[in-house]
Amino acid sequence: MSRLLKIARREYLAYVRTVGFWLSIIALPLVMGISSSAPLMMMKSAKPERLAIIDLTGQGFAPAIAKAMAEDQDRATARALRAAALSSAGPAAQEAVRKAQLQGGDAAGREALARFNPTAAARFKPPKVDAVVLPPPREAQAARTPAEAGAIARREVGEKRLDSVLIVSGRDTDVTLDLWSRNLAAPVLESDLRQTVTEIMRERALARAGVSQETLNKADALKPAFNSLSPKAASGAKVALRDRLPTYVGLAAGFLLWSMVMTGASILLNSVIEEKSSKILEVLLSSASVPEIMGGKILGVAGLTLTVMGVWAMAGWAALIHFAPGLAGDLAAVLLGKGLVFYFGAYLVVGYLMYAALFAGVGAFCETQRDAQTLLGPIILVMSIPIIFMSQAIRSPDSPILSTLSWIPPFTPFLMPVRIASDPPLMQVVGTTILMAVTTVALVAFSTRAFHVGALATGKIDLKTLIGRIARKQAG
Amino acid sequence: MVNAVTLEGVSKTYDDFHAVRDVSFEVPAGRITGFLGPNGAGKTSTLRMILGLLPPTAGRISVLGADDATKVRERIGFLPEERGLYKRMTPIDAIAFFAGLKGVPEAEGRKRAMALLEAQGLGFAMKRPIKDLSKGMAQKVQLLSALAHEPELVVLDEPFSGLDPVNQQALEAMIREIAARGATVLFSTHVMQHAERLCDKVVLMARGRKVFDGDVATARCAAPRALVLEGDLVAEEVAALPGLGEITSEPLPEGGWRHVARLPEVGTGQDALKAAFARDLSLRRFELKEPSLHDAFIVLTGGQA
Repeated sequence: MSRLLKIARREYLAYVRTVGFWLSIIALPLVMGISSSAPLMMMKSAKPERLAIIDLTGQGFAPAIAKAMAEDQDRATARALRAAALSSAGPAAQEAVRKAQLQGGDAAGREALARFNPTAAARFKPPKVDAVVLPPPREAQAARTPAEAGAIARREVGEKRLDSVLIVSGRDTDVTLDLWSRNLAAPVLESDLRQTVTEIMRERALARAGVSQETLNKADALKPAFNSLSPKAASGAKVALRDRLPTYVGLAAGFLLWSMVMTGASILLNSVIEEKSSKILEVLLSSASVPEIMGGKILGVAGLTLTVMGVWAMAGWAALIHFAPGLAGDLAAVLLGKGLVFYFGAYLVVGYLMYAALFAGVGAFCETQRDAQTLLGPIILVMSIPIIFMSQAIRSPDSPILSTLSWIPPFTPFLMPVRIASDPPLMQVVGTTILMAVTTVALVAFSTRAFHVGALATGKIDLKTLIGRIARKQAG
Repeated sequence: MVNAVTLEGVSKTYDDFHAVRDVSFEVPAGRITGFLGPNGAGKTSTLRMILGLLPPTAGRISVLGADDATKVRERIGFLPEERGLYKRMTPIDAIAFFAGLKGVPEAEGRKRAMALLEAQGLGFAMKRPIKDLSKGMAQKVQLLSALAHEPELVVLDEPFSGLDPVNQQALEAMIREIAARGATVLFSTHVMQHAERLCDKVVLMARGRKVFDGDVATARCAAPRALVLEGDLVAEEVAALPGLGEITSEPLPEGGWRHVARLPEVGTGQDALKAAFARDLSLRRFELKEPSLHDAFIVLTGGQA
């Protein structure tokens, strides 16, 4: 085994054998999982609001509101079933479920899903009901004014027999809603109830104006057919989720590459600082050449980065196949079919090499984290620029500013993965890649020189002296 | 005699600072050579140039027959002045790792590491993390890391610094063992007693220049001998004695004075003693003091600390 590989192996094992490394691998997906599922879990665990409606209008608002809420729930269930079809079996299943729902309701929709993915159909659960409408207390029938009804509502909510009480008063176009709720900060049903009653008032006003119920229903059902089209779509016109997926994948890859490169380069920096401060570098320099030491360390930390990515990718893929096999299939097609995975791999390798060499070179001058912060501050500031522009690439991947920034080699590894999905001009892909590769080679050569000078340097050195010494390759 | 290391007119300049100026000397193969000098004399820079860690600004260096030590790095063992090991590694892993970098196969490296650790009484600690070892133990492990590949040339930069007297003695024994198996040892120090006990040859540096190159006995000649007189006699009485140079006096705890008088190069102090007896001076004890390497060091470096 060459010295380079021996140093790489030591570097890799030094981290992989620690409990902290595996904890950090688990920590990120765990935190992401908790943060994304926590709101859903909280919603699921919450009991439906117990709502009573005291109707003082004498115009049948209470049953109309209950009916509208039940219809809203049905629509939510139908939407959830179509979303489940899309994620578990793809766009064809979604369309089949939609057609089945139109003809035979949700039961037919579920049957249609079962034909594509029986497990998803069996596992499907309708969305949680936000509220159940309960009959108001008997004495509410005697209430004639909002104040009388309010006293009853105050008591029922205060004594926790009900979560919310809606008092509807007034007539026709002058209706007032008083919502008594236990939730002081953000009453759960406030916006839903306001919208529902607004709809009822609008329908009734139209009915009074002579518009028949049939016409109203027809008017409500009016909805333009909307087609999203693009010459870049796989079908040649109609845009499907699979057409949009590369852009989202590119954005995710850009962020992932940035964080992996930063993580890897930071690990390398810490490792070099540790060796510099504990005087191991001098012994290493007497045992191996600078390219062997730097190469070994960069390779070892690259192994760590790949281990992290590998574990996360496998866990993510397993979760995707389990929960959304349709999306997993589309993702695989996008990554492999468009060759994105090879672009991402190339940008990861070159980006990592560029920053790892730079951080290793800087680390050789630092005996403490504080030294490193002083020297790396401007570099990290520059590195954060692509992050600001990455999300813009979804809306306008070919904007002049993004195109220009992509030509700046330190930004290329992060911005081009985001843009690559939108098929930027070949000249830009090739040109930026060549420029990035040339810069990386130059940076590695410079960092190797800096590493040698820094490894043997002692005490504080001002920037001018530092650059002078690197130029002359003069340590001490 | 074959030389393991040869320096010819070597200089090293950092920016405007001349760390080493026109230094030439040889390190004979199979011998122990002490590289002496006060702090800042240019010892570490010279050793780094010998090891190929730093390029000389001028001059030529030959190490084990090569014009560049990096070409023969597998035949060299090095212990730097400031010690450091991977703190989470075990001694056996650390020694095997550094031996591996010098070309020793892993299994063989571990075997040698075990044998070396056992021989140094560190067998019980071979699988403990280095951070759990005492400073002395960790220093021994680092030295073993520099020796496990059985180098022909061993370069030790201030190997005794930070060691307690017991460990210093153990290290001296190890250096003798290394030389006994035929390896060349070059070590730097500013503690003359170690050099006096160990070295066949010493090279003395001061202010970046070589000020002496030869054996210990010759080095001692650089400092004058002295006549020590103890008793109730006072400095003026000693100064009046013939054939004595500069005199330093200090009071004795039990009363009286201790006078140390430098002798001229050819002087033996006999005339002074005869005169002291003739004058019936109150003399309790006298001694002709041969110069130590420390005395020679002070003289040769011009008293530079």
